[in-house]
Amino acid sequence: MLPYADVVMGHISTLIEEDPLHVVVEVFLIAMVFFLLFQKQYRVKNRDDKLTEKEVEQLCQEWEPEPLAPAISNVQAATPTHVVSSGAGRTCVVDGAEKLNFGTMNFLGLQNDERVNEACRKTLRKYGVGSCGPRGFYGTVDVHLELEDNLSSFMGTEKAIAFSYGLATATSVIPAFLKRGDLIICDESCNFAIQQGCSLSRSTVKYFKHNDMEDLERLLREQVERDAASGNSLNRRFIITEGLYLNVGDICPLPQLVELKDKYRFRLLVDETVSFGTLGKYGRGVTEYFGIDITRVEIITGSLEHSLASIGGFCVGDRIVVDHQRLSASGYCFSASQPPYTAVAASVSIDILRDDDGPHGGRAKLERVRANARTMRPALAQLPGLRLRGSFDESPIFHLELETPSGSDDDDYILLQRVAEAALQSGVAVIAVRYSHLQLRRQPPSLRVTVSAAHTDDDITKAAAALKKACKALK
Amino acid sequence: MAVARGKATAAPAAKANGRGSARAAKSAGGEKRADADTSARMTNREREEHVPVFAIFTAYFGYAVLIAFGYMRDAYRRLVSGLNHSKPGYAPLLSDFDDFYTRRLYRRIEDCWNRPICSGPGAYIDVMERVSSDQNKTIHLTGNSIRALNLASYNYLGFGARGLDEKDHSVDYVIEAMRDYGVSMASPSGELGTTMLHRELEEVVADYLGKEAALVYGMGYATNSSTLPALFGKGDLIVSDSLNHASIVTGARASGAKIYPFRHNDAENLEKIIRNAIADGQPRTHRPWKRIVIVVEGIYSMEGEYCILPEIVALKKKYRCYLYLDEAHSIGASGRTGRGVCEHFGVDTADVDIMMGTFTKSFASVGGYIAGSRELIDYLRFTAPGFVYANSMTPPAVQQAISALRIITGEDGTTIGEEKLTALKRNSNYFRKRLMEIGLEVYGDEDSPVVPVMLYNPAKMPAFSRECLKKGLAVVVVGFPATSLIASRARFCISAAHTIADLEAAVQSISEVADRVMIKYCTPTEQKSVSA
Repeated sequence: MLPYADVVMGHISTLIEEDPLHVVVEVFLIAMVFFLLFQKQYRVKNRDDKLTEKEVEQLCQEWEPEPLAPAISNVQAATPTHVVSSGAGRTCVVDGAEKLNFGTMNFLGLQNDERVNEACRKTLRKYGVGSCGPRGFYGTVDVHLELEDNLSSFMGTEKAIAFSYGLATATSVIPAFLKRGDLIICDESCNFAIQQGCSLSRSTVKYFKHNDMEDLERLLREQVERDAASGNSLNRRFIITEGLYLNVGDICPLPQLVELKDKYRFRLLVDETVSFGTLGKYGRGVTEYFGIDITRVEIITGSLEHSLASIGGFCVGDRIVVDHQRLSASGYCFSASQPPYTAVAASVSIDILRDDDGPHGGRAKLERVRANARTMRPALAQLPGLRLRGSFDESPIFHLELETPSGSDDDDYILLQRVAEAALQSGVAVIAVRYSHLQLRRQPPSLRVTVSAAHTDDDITKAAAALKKACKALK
Repeated sequence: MAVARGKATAAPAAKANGRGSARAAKSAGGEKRADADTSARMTNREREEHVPVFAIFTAYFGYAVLIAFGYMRDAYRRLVSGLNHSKPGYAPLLSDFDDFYTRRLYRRIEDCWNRPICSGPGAYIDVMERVSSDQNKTIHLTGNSIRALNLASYNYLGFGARGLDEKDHSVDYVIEAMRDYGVSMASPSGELGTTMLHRELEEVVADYLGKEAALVYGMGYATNSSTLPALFGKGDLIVSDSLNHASIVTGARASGAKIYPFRHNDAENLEKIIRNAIADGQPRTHRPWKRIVIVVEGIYSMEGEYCILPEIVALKKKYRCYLYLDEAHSIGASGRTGRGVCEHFGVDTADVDIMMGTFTKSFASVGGYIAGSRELIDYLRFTAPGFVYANSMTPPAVQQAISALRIITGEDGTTIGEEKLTALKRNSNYFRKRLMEIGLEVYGDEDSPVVPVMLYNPAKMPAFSRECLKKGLAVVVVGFPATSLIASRARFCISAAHTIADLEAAVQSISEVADRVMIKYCTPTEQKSVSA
């Protein structure tokens, strides 16, 4: 007999005497355990199709990658590359010859202004060129803080934040506030930066027809109905538009937008890449133009590259909006800060816009660029084979599209490129608008003409004549 | 107690370290705690095995206390006034959850970051003094500035601020470029933004790297976030190192390609992932992948170590993948002539398909470049958003980059470039060695100008940062979310503009601060004779 067997048996018999039910349950449980242990395992996936090492090796040897860059398309072959050897002013030297410059987007002609350059010279001698660090790690130079103060006081908002790259501004701001599950209702003609920002944010995006307030209202109403039906918790909602549309050249109906967004409880983001520095009495953009209080628009993003003679972008809003971006706007936190001299260039440009009432000051330049726009419009409307897109008469950007498009965007683009080249031969630089294959929503191909405060009436007449001649290439 | 533990030998540490594995024991040479020499030859992963248990414990405990306090304060505030003042009917702009870390943890120590300076990023900087009377809710400038040794800026070759002053004429050329072209060309590079200067820079860069062609962008971040989507899309596979920079992650996400991360610097893991990817094909459809690209960085800025380039190139050739190398920190700072990690490892640049880099760090300029074959560059010129939509690089910065490159290659006729390159290596190695000798846990590889020092405990970040500033050292501390939760560190960036005397004085100050803050996790050794 096993040792201690009698002790164990005595123990068990006591148990059975005292609490038989307990023993029955325990025996049952132990039996269940043994039963399950020896059960055959149920396999969900049939493991027979796992690849053997030899098969993996064979597949790896057979696999052929595609080339890194695709073969040159006819569109790529038709796209010229121009090299400029002067600054962007009233004229510029393209491929060695001086041409009238109607292709760069320097609306106020501040690009080579002596006041800006003088301030930049001093800054370069003091700080050097680069700031060698992101804003979080000693890359914040006092001139950056001055620029941000200048921007916020100029625009009349609580705070401002400056980015080092125009294209990165909207792309970083939108994902900072909108995430998966939020809703964006965006104008269908928005520029690439906004589109990329919307797609990076991973939120639901709906588009409304360009400047069509009824279509927008329909979408907003549908959303309210959905809310009532689902009873889900509120998500963040934004309407995104541009002040002046970069790819169309007309203005957004801001008063109606603000009314709608208040009525349906959405927030508004206006991208003032083109309208900042061109609209409004002092160049403050669409809010000044329409006389709407800027605090009614939650977020305004803009560019320092077009009217101001600098590079970079900015965002203005109230303290919460701006402070949040200092930690969550990707293009701000993970990028080196803008070089000090570019911050100074932007700051000096804002001072000129706001303070200088003289003949070379902000007011004069704004008036000049609007007058030029008004002169250019009828001249361009008469070009044979081309028609003007958009109808806002103060827009410094004009897009001319083909009156009879062929149906293939590529062919139309190649045709317009020929017109642009012909115009260049006649001494006027204009641009055939090109889109990256990454931009999913685009306008039909067009020719873009921009005016600046530096142009004279004579320049405009010459430009119109050269374009008329170039339109012969359309036949 | 902590001090005694810091000086303890490895025997109790190895036993107490519950994560000790055979590898740890092997790499530490058995029981002996790594001294400065062996530590210099370890990889970061091996060093990670040595995290002192006490440090881990206090780090997690610190977070627990902070989070508990945070929740208590939130609850109090919700009771008293309501947390998020948003208009009725609107969802709050910032959700409570997203914002918790910022409000309750980051804000307490916010003064360690975003410190403004009022000088250029040279060897010394003037940090503007700030005070706050309401626990960092609002921070004010006092108007004074503190002259501090700059151990923070990415000024590796010392071109920041005025460079070498009288001998360096680069600022004059930059001003000339501004006179000729202005600050901005107001036009995308693909339209009328490309100037003779840009073309010159592209040629100089291509020549420098030994590639056929190059193109330049106006922003380093945008170089990645613009090129990756332009080249890769649906049907492609991006195999990316797990510690890659945010710009690469943004670019990869924007591209629409599938992303498989691989364990940092782990060639075995990388090979396994590639093999399985090729064998299995695309998920669900099992169609073969169009292309597979491996994305790595030259020097990882938070780790201070190089990527395992030779192994990766071998793998890439074996499986016919493409290789995208981001040399933001390593261009100009690695290799005998500053040509980057390829030169450092002796790898032919023809084996790297897409070489990316920035001008912000070693060249004290702004912007980035992509170098590769002519077809690749022509294609990018045609379709990359950074080229089609974004304004071209500001011309004065282009000139600065050209001047810096000419100085480094010696084309300007002086030996300044060579001196800078030698000074950088000498300084980095000296500084790293001295820090190890005083007993700090230093990460990173030999020759790398980025020297991270482990703090582990999040509370030590503000302590270290503020104490160093009091002693006249401008340092960078990083914590969650840039690093993992308990891997807070101080990161030093060495520059060729520093002198050995500067660095030695810095080491003394750091030693005093480290004693106070108790971060000497390793055994200090006797000061060996310095090889200058």
